[in-house]
Amino acid sequence: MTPVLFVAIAVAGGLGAAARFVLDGVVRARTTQRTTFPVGTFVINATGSLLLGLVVGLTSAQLLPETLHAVVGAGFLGGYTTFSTASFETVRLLQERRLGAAALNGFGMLALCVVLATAGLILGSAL
Amino acid sequence: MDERESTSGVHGLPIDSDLVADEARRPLKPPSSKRTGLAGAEKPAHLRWFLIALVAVGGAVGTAAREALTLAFPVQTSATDGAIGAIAPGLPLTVGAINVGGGFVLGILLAALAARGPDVGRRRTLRVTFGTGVLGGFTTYSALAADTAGLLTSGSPGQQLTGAAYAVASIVIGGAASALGMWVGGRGARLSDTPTVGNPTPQAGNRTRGSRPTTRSESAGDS
Repeated sequence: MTPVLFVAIAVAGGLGAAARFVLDGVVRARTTQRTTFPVGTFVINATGSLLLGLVVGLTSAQLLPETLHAVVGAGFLGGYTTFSTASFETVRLLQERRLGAAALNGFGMLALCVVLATAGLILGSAL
Repeated sequence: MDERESTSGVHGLPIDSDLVADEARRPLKPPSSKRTGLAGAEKPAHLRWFLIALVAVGGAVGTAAREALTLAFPVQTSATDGAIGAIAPGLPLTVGAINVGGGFVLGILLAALAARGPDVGRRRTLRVTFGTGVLGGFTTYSALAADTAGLLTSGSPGQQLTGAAYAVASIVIGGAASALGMWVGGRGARLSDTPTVGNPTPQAGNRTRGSRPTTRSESAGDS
């Protein structure tokens, strides 16, 4: 990997993290009166998983160059989505004895994200 | 008005780690009435350029660290790559370890910060930079989902089993690591000489921001 590509991945990751911060705040501002379920992280990880599946599929179909796959996939979408916050939020829901919400945030998010990534993968490869 | 008990729970942490002070003082169940008093308050954190920039810089650092680790320890696809390649080819163990490790450190960070006081000022700067930025960028969910999807659709029953086990183990071990980190962070903060140790008293919170910016009411909710 060239140093330029490495830096591009890092910068893209920074942009992804900033996008996550802003979108999470926007989603929370719209949902906080109705629920304390961490909708923002859920939406972010779901959309990011769908997009990464699509990027991987398009790359395997040679419609995207490998460098773009690295910058958008490992960089932007890697920085945009987050595991640590999702995991923290699941534990907090467990501590509040909100077992259904915790299961949804843990295994529900996992299942949905894998399904969306698979859909993206199939769609991207089929194009 | 707006008097209520702290409902932040015994652990005193918000569910959403990206909560900011002016949004954080909410009960666990949505308030039935009365809009949270934000009128005339400062801009929400996610709309402040300085904090967005901190998240971006932190996220770039975290992403660089993740990329460096995945380059140093690439996925082993066959026995010639190493022991993991022989046992479970295609298992993205590096990303798995990054996610579990990042979850552990985030737990430490958020619990330690929350035990030290309200999520304002320097504490919020630290949380946003290192939690939302560095650790948020370091860990990744999209790679977990896409790698699992790749293994599940690969055809080989062994790889499908690897994919399912990797995904479920990530969530379970990641959750345990987060909980352990939160315990360590909270305990570390209690052992150090902070005046606002651990368990905030359930005093009433005045949700009108800015009227008494230095009182405990600022922190009563979720810190």
